[in-house]
Amino acid sequence: MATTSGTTGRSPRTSWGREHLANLYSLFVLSMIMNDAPDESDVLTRALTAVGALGPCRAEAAYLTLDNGLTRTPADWPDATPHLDAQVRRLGGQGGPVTVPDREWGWSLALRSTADAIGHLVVSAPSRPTDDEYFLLRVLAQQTAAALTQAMARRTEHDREQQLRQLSDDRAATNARLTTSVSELEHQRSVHEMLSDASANDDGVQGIAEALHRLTGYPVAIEDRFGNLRAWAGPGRPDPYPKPEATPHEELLQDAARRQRPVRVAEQVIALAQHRGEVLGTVALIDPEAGAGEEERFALDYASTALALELAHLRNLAEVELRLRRELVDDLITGTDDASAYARAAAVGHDLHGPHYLAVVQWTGRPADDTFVQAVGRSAAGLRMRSLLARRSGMAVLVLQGRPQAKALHEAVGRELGSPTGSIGVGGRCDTPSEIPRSFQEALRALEVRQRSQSPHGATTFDELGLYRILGPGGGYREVEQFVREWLGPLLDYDAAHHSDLVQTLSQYFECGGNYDATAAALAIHRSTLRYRLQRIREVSGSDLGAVDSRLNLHVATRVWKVLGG
Amino acid sequence: MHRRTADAPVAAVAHLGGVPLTPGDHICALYRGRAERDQFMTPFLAEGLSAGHICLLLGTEGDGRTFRDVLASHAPAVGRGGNNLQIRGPDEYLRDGTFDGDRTLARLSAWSDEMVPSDDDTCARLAADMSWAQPLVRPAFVQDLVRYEMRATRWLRSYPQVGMCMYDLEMFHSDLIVPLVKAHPKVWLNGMIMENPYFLDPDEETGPPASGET
Repeated sequence: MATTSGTTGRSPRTSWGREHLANLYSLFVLSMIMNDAPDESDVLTRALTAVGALGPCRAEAAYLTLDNGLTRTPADWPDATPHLDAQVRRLGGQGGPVTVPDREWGWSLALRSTADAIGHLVVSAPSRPTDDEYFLLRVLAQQTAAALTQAMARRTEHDREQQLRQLSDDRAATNARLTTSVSELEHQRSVHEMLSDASANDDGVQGIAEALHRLTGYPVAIEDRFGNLRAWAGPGRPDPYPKPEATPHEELLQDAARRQRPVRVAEQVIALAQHRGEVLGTVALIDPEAGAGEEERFALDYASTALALELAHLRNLAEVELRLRRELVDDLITGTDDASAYARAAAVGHDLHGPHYLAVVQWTGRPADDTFVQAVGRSAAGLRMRSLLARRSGMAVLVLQGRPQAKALHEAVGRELGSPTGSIGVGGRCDTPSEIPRSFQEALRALEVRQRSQSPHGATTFDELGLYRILGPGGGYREVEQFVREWLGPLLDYDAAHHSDLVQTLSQYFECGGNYDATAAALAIHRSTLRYRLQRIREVSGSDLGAVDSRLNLHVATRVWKVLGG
Repeated sequence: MHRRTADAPVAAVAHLGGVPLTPGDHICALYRGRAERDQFMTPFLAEGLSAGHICLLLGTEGDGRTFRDVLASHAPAVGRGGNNLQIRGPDEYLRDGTFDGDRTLARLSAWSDEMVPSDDDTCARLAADMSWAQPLVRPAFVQDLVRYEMRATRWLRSYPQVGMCMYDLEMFHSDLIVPLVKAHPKVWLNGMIMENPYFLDPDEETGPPASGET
């Protein structure tokens, strides 16, 4: 409707009504704004700042009911005072009058959600507001309460969502840790299975090395206590394998023993195989590029444990077997029944059936300790002699299967010990265990003869003693020597003075049964030379070679002479 | 002159969030944060540029450097706006840091006279970011700003143009928002336009003063 010229403005009532409706409309918009507020504090701030825009009143403070009671919100509202706080608290959740300095009218509007009081909006005015103005305040309070309820619900939902998200994150983290743990356990199980299988399958040290190589992909070296290679798995085995120097190697072992984890040394990661504090050996990953990780180190550590058990087991077996062998040899030497002997020998892997010979070994300057006995055993094994080995009365004793090569054995032991100054005596043949004691005595006799001869370092078999075997056991050595001097003395003196071989010639003459041709051939001399020597023998000895008694005594004497080192 | 008459509906010349706007419309847009502002303002201006309208953005200090890029990203068809897009800063409102509503309206009227002559069928769009007002909010300023907004409604009705004043709810509280809502015929909030038939009519400006403690 157009306004005509000269007409006054709208009636006050119409203007008032429009103003009132405009206020209500603005409250409607404000309600929408508050319902979209981020939090309760924002809601109350918008309510507080709206009071002055709706009428003559002033906002004094706003409060929120929380778990710990009534809380001024926002806390830093400039007109709020502790005195006002106390008044609002005394209202106990209900609306009512409050006293505000220099203001005639003050009121606390309760903010309610259904039956619960959720806060207060405190306003004041210089005079009591009109009913319409108070109505707007009440509408503002109602809309504020509704918005607060929404904000609280959103916050609760947000908190719940956050808790759920946190739970979800925690669960994801737990699952991740579980996945990692399962993966680690799977790997450890794999390590355990492979190494346990290696042990269970009697694959030995080599099996452990191969299993570790398969687990890690790295070449593996297993050494004994002294750095000698015992097993290698994977490519790149050094040939020859380097032998470490004793002192640095010992220092390395001590340093590694002080740590509880595998240690890196140059291009290797090394773990010790220890049993009851004693280092039995080492196992190493060959890792020149330093790529081994935790899984590889775990496998290495576990392998070292398996290796320690394996080495300890092997050592125990060796010790038990050695003890069993020693006890068996002792019993064989002193005499035991055949059935028991065969069974016990079989138990330690030796077939006692068939011909056997006893050998006794002594070496000048070497005590008959375990090292010595083991050296003798290695020498025999090196010659492919199957034997039972023991230590007895300051000597090594071997029960040898088959006729031994006594001279070769002596040479082998000499190489092993680094010295040729030793003596070996070999007894006669034994076809049953019950004959071993006799053979042992024969070996001792042969050893004694060898050690008392002019060539004490060497090997002597009882069979070589000849006629001396009959005389030896019953007679004294001095008497035997006197017998030889009696019959061969002049000839021995002559040979010594003239560097001749009359005694050797006589011995060969008797061994050939007096046959000129055979004797000459054996001595590689001419018949005329032989005839000349025999003539000289008759002259020097003064004996008649044709006389039966002289012939017998001379022959026995040459035999003894030969045994004693001729 | 496209004055509104009670007996004849006017065809829409613009849209805001899908809601049709007619010449002379003055919208109070309430938003939260810069992103939301761009979310409704950019399509509003892009639509105008596509239709050949003259667009004036009274933006913040940085809009002159950045808004054309935002526009090009949102509406590649209009590119960076060309000559039809004019961007000015808060200096349109402030002189020596003081708000002068009369001066601002005089400058805006001059702009309309130049850009939207009566003998031309061109339509204009105005988007005004009012963030500059935040530091000045106090009772006296609120009265001045509300009076300015009421007069702006009259100015917008005098030309074939649509205007949008934008207030960030993260900057302004009810002491300003409530009077603004009362002074605007249309309010945009949460993607909706709400019409207020009981807005304070600028033609009644000489009536009783606005509510509020004086």
